Amino acid sequence: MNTKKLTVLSMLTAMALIIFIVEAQLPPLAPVPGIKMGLSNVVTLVTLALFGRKEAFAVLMLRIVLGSIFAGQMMSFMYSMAGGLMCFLVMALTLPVLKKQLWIVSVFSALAHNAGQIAVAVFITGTWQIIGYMPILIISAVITGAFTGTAAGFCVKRITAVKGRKYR
Amino acid sequence: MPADLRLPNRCCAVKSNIKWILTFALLCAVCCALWFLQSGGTDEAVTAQIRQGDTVIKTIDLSAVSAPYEFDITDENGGYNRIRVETGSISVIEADCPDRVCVNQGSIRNSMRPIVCLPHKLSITITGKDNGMDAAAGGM
Repeated sequence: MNTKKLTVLSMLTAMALIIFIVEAQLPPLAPVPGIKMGLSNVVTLVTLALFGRKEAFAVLMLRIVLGSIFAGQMMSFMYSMAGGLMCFLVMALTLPVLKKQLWIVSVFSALAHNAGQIAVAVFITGTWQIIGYMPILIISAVITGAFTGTAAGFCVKRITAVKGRKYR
Repeated sequence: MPADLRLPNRCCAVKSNIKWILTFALLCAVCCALWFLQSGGTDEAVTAQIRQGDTVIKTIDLSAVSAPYEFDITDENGGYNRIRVETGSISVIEADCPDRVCVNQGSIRNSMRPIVCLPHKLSITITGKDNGMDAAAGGM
């Protein structure tokens, strides 16, 4: 871990955190629990594509912990954590297969994120009927995932065009 | 010829993208269909069950409500949800949770989908008198 890498990763974490906090201030998009844009996932995707799994995991975990301290409460930490872990797992597994198409990786990770959150919500509230929201959450995951993934794809393209293929 | 080499690649990527777009569109269509199938709900469902965490704290027979009334439910951290009960329907009209999704969900009368306030671990579920929920869930 050299100084440059440390600095760049810190900057990425700070960016993710700011996006996360600003997004938390926006009013909910729809009267359905769990729908949000997930814009801070752009940073996780970019980190994963430019650096690797370890680094992306570090950025994601730091963002969730710090984000919950600054913007949320205990409950939102549980949901973010479950969603984030599922999301990262799927992202790390699908990226090697779909390296060229970041938006598809993003859609799959968004689906995993929502599935993880619903699972925790069912567990915490003890109400299995919450699964009834899954169809609309799948649709929202496809739309927001495609959007954030496309954004991340553009970022990666620009950064590698300027800085070269690898950051490590 | 770099230009010649790049052309088929791009074409491939576009084709692959279209394949995935169609897959996801199909997924969305299926979900839409499921969503609207679900929205019907049951006709004679009239009992509301209010849960906090994994315990049922209140069960209300909505058909037996003669005059609308309101009450508050507080959680262990001091947060509250004000619940309004009317004949045949129930809603959260006020809350101090950060996102207020529970308030925006409006009132439910025979919905298969519960009102939930995730930050307060609160959920309101409508259950049929004759346990119609289980039959409907089996059909899914």
